[in-house]
Amino acid sequence: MMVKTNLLRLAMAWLALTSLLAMAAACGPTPTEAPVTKEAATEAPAAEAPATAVPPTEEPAAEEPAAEEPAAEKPPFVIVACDTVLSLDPAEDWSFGGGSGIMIHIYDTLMTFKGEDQSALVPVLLAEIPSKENGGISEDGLTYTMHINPEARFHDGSPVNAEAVKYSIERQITLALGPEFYWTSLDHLEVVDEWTLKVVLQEPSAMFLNLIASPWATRIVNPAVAEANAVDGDMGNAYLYDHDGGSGPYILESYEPEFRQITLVRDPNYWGGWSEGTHIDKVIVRWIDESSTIRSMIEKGDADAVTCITYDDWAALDAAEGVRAEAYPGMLLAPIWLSYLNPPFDNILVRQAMRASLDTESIIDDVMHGMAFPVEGQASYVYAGATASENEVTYDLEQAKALLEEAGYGDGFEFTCQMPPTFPESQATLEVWQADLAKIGVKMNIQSVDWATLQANRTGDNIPDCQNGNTSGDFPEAWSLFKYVLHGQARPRGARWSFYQNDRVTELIEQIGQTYDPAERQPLYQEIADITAQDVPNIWVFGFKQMVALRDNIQGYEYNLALGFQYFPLETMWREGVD
Amino acid sequence: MLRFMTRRMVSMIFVLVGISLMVFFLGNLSSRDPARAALGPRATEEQVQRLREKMGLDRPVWEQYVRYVLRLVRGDLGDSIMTRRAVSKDMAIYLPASLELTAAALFLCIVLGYPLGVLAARHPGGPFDKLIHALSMTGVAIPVFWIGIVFQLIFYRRLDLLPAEGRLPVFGVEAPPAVTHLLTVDSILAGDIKTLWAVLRHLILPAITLALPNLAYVIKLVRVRVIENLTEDYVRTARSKGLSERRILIVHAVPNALLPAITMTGMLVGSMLGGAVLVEIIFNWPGIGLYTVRAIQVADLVPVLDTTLIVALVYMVGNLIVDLLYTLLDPRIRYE
Repeated sequence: MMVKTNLLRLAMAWLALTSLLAMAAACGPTPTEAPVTKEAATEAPAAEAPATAVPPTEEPAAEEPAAEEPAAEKPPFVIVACDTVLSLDPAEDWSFGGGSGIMIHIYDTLMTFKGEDQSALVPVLLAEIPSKENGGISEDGLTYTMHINPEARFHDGSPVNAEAVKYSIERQITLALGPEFYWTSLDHLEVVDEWTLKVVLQEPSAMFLNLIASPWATRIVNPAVAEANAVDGDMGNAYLYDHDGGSGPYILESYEPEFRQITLVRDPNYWGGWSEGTHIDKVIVRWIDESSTIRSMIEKGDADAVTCITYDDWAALDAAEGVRAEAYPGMLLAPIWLSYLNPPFDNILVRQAMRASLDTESIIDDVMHGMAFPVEGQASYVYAGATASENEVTYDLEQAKALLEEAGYGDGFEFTCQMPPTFPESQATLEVWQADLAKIGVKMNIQSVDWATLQANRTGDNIPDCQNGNTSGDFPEAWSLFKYVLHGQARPRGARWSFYQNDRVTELIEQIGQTYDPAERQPLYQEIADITAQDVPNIWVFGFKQMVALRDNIQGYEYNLALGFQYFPLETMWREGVD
Repeated sequence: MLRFMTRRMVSMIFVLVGISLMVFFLGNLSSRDPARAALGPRATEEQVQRLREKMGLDRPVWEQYVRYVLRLVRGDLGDSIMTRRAVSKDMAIYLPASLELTAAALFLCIVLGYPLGVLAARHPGGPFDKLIHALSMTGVAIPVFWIGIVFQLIFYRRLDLLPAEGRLPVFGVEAPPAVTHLLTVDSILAGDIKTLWAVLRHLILPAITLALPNLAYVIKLVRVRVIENLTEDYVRTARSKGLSERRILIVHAVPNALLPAITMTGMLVGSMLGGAVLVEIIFNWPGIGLYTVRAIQVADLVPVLDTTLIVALVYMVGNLIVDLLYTLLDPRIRYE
C-alpha cells in the first residue's frame, strides 16, 4: 500500500512538472534558427589581392554595402541537399551529388569546367592548361607537363607544389577507394622542379585533360596533413574522413553526421584571392530526405538554396514569394536498356519496334511535367559532339507494329522490365510505355527491384530482359558517355547494360579518344549516330532537368553543367541585404 | 530472484544468438553483392573484389558468421560498407538519437496515456470518453508520415512555434560536450539551459508523432483495466464503506490496473526504437531506423545485424525491467 501511494505521488508530481514544461515549450520564443537579420551587414574588407585563380569570374564586383557600425554576425548560408556525403577524403568520395558539390570548395583541383561554356577548361591550381600549342602536351600525346601556380597554398600556408600534386594522385591510386580509376591510363609521374610535374600516360588520349578535370580526379590533398595523421598506413584516410586537408576557398569547420550537416567557413586568406564585394562567410550544408520539409524550410527562409525537391514542390516554390525555382538541363539521362543477350531483343527489328513504341514526348510533358528534355541520338544536346541521325526511329505505333511483324513477332511477346528506385517518376514512365506496348501486342511486366539486387542480376546469370535507370558521362563530351554505354569493352560493363557490341562503334569511340581537334571528332560522332540509329543500343527516354530553388535575394548563382545541380558557386554568390 | 535473473540472462543470450543466425543467414540468401552495391556500377571488378576481401565477404558464410560473433564478443561491431566506418562509431551517433526520441515518445505515452485512460474510465460512454476514443483512434488510423507533415505545416510553417527538423537548429546553438550523446542529458550536465531548450523544442514534434499511434493502445488498455477494476468486489466494498469515488479511483482501482499497462509500455520501447524510420525521415532525425534502412538498401549486412541485435536487446531488457517492476507494484508477485 505504501509503495503504491509513493508511486502515485511520484507519478502525479511528474505529470504536473512535465505538463508545465510542455506548455512552456509550446509558448516558447520564435525559433532562433530563422534568419537573424536582413539588414545590410558590414563586411570586413575583402582580401587585398584581386582574384587571380578561382574564382576566375568575369562578373562585375558587387556593390559595397554601406559600412557603418559593426553589424551582428551574418546568418550562415544554408544549403539543403538530399545526398549524404560518405567521406570527405578526396581519395574516397566519388559521389555525384552532395559530396562532390562540397568537396570542390574545400579542395582545389588542377583545372575545372566553368559555367555555361563547358567546352573550355579553366585552370585552378595549374598556371595554364597544357596543350600542344603551349608545349604542355608532347607531340606523341603521352606526356603532359603541368605547371602549378606558385602562389597556390594549402589552408595551413604550405605550398601546393609538384610534390603535393604527385602525392595526391599516387595516394588516390594507392588507397584505391574509388576515384583512382581516372588514372588507369597513367604510366608514371615525374617531379621536374618545385612547380612542374610531368604526367606520363601509357597511351595517348585526347580526353585525358577533360577526364581529370572531373571533380573527383585531382582534388589535391596536403601531404603533411595526411601523413601526420596516418594510422596503420592509411595515408590519413580515417582522419580526412571528417577533417580538412585542402587548399580551396572554404575551410571545413565541422562534419557532424549526428546533425547531418557540414559547416564550411570562408578562408579570407585564400591564395586565389577574392573578388571585390561581399561574400558568403559561412556555409552549412544540411541533409534532409523529405522534400516537403525542404520546401517548407526554403519558403520560410530557413534555407537559402535547396536541391532534391520533387516536381510538385518545385512548382509550388516557383509560385512562392521570396523564392525562385530554376531548372537546367543536366548530363543525367534516363535510358531503357534492352539486353541483346535476351531474345527477342537480339533482333534489331524488335529493338526498333520497341523504340517506335515509346512516346517520349508524352512522358516528358505529362509524367515529368516538362522537367526533362528529349534526347536525339545517343547523347543529349548538352554533350559536345552529340548529334542525331536522319534515320532515327521515332514514336510511331504503326511502324512499331509493322517492324514486329517483319521480325516474326506479329503476335507479340512478353518480357519483364526491372525498375530500380532511380527517380520518383520511374514507375509512371514505364507504365506509359507499357500501355503503348499493349497496343501492339507486347506485354511488359514491371518489376520493382532494389539497387543491390539489380546489380547482382546485371553481373550474374540472371540478366534482365529490360531495365531502366539513369546514367551520365563524366564530363560534357559525348565520348565520356559513349565509353560507358557503347564501347564494346566498357569497364566493368560500364552502363552498357544492353550488352551492345559493335566493333565499328567501338573503333570510332577509340578514334574520338585520340582526336584532339573537336571539329575532327564530329564526323566520327555522326557515324556513330547513323549506326546506332539502326541498332538502338540504348533507348533514351529523356534527359533530366536539374531542379534547384534559391531565395530570391541570392545573387551570383550560375549553374555548372559538369558539376551538377548540387554545386553552388559559393565563391561568386552573395545574399542581397545579408552579406 | 537471483535464479530468475540468471535464467532471464541465459534466455536472452539464446534469443540473441537465434536472431543473429536468422538475420545473418537470411541476409546471405540474397544474391545481392554488398561490395558492388557500395561501390556502384562503375567500379571495376578488381575494386569490388578488393572491398570484398577487405570486408571478409569472400569467406564462406559460416566463417563470416563465426568471425562476426567472435568480434561481437570482443565488443567490435564490425565495419559498415555503406559508411566505410566502424559500426560502433555509427552507433555512437545514431543510437543515442533514437534512444532520445524513443524515451521522449514513451514519456508522452505514459504521461498522457495513463491519465487520459483513467479519465475516460471515470465516465465510460460519456462525452469525454467518446472524445478521447475518437482522438486516440485518429492517432492510430492516420499514417504517421501524414501526421508528421501536418504537424510541420501547422507548428512550423503556419504558427512558427516549433522547428521542422533536426536535433538542433542549423545555427545559433552549439551542441553540448558529448558525454552520452543524448543531447538532453548532455545539456543538463553542461548546465546549458539555452541548448536544453533548443533540444526540447526540436524533440517535441517528432516525439508526439512517434507517440500518437501508440498512445491509443495505452489509453485503451488503461481505460479497460480501470473499468474492470471498478466493477470488482473490493471497490463495491470500498463504496459501501463511504470512500469517495475519487479516492477509490486513484488509491485503489488505478494501481491495480497498472500492471498490464506497464507490460505494454515495456513492449513499446522496442517497437518505437525499431519502428521510427518514417518519423526520422520526416523530421530529419539521425536515428538507427534510417541508418538501418539505408544499410538494407545496399545489402550492408553488418549494420543491419548489429541494429537488429541492439533493438532485440533493448526489447528484452525493457521486458525484464517491467517484470521487475511488477514485484514493486504487487507484492504478491515473486520470482523464484
